[in-house]
Amino acid sequence: MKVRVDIRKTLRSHGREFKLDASFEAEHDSTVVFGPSGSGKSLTMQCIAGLVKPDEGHIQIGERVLFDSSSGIDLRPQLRNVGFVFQDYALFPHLTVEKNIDFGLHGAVTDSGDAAVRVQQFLVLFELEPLAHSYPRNLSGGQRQRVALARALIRQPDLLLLDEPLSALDPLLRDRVRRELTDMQLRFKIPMLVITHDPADVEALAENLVVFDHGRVTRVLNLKHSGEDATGLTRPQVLDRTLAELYPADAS
Amino acid sequence: MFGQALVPLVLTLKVAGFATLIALLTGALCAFLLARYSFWGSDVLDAICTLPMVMPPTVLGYYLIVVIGRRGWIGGWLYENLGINLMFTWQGAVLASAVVAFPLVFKSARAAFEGVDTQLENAARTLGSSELRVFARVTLPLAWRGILAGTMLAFARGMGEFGATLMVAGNIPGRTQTLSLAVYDAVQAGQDDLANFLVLVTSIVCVLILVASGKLFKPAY
Repeated sequence: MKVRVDIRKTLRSHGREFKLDASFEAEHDSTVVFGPSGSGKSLTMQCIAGLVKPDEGHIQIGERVLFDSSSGIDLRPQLRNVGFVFQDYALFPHLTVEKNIDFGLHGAVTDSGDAAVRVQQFLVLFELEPLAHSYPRNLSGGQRQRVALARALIRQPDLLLLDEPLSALDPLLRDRVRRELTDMQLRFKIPMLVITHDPADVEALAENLVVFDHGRVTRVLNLKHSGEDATGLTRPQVLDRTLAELYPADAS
Repeated sequence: MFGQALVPLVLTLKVAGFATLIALLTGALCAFLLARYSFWGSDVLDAICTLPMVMPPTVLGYYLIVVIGRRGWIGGWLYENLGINLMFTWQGAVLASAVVAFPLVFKSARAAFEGVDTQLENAARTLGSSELRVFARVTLPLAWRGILAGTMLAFARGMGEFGATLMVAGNIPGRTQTLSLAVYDAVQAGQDDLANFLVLVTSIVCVLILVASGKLFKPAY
């Protein structure tokens, strides 16, 4: 499903001003949003989810318009059907793993019937069954991440947003979780937008690559087929080149 | 002596109970609004909500007389239209205690609401929860301990209320004479046994409340 984002937003705090002017289209199911911290990646995600209102612009998933300032459309986050996995996972500390996963099913109509059965399926699928009655504070980083993912995916969102999903994990675990993420992607076929500033994530996950810098999208690359973009460079080469331009000091 | 102590004790619990209820509802509401929304004059409103904590109770009592007295802004209207008079009644004492206890609920509740990570509320929103459900299932469950702790402090404060109550409700034995007023009377009249007993009862109840609220102020998660 195609995701179209074209938004502008100015933030002011303590006399400093940040201007976001992000415009990109993501055709493929796995899009990596890449760029240094403070470049507007998270803000863009929050705008897509409806948690922050852009000053102007347009956001669309497939045929569904979520935001359009010219026609006054601004769907509430509750109605956008966009899943969000937060950087620190934002699990509800007062609810068990089971209740966390179940949280989004209340009041939502699910076509597969009984919510309890569905929660059970997801517990099994994400290998969380033995932890069903544990509280988030007793889980490891990887387990927390799986709960956050299960909680978002059980609602069958049209789009899944992941804000640095691997940054809270220790490096040894990252590889495994990255693989799990691609597996889930294949299984659920839900398009996802992943924020990262880890080049390894780009390698593993990117079909589309959106590069942010200073509040602007500086590049949108298509890496899906044979890992080459239009210029004929391989995926690692594209990455190296992009990195070199973003961090000129590191490249020397 | 037990009989002499029982009447003011029951009245004190009744007054403090109703006063705490009023302070809880209004204090938590103001705290939530000020914790989540910032608007023109919100700093001033915060200061006004905290004011009863630092002002002399007699000054508060005077303000209350100006407002709810028989010729007061609200009191006058109440008396002329509904025949209600709050001065020198236990309901007046409730109002006085509620005003004095209000900042304790307000301060604790505001800290409790501000301690709830807004990211959790946002997560609930992206999971399809209405604003009401976000509050009922996320914000309130994570803040209630702090609110309850403040409420218990408010109850303890309400039990010990003296100055504002005296100004508004007077010191009428059997009608508006609460424990703290009865202690004053007992000491003035040289009834040391009664005074000792009243002081002991008040102290025990207040210590119990403080221990319980101290436990609640510790975070659970």
